[in-house]
Amino acid sequence: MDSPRNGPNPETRSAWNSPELASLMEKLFAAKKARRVALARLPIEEKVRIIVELQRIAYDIRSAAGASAPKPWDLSQ
Amino acid sequence: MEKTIAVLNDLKRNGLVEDYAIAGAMAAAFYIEPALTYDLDVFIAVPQTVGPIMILSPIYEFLHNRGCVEAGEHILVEGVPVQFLPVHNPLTQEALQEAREIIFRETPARVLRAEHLMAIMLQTYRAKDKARLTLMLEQAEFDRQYFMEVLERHGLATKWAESGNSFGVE
Repeated sequence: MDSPRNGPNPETRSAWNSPELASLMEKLFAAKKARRVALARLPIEEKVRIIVELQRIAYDIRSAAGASAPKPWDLSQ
Repeated sequence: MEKTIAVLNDLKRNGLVEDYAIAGAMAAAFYIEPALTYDLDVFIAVPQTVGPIMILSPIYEFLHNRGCVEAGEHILVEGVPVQFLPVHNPLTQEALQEAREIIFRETPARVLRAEHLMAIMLQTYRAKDKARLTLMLEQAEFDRQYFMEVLERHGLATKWAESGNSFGVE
């Protein structure tokens, strides 16, 4: 069995070195990159909406953890 | 944010700033994927009659009269914390002068060009500037020749050449 202390067993090491896994990882990273480029091409109005949503998420997480958090923008004013 | 931009336009219309342009993380958002940010940095040029110490006072007075309140180093303008940054060196001055005109919904605004934004990131070069510069290089559409000219004009070409490898570019 694999253990972090002893490293992967030979079967796992072999799977990690397989061309299939390398190919899969390449595809996954390429998809990630394409998604980020697509985000970069969104209209600025949509990006602002996403930024405010990120602010809300960060606020909720930090508040739940008892940490002080900057308030999200209130664009309804 | 449209209302915030409208107030920035009012500052210019009323002669409190000669010009303004959105800078910092929000300007970067025009070119790259949206990322968490909390403030709107705005480069400004003020009339020559205003001394360095009083540079922001007329602007703040105008905004206070419109019901804006200060929050730390920011002033809340229509729900958005805005930080006004007077242009402070030749690069930021040129960046402001050559900023792009854009339309946000129906309101005109000025935003730094990608090339100036990247040059400022290289000049400032904090950890977050390096991270944003990497994203700009990956995602932004920019004029590489113009960018190199900006770097040459402002003594950043050597720094770019030295740091370029860390961004995976030539």
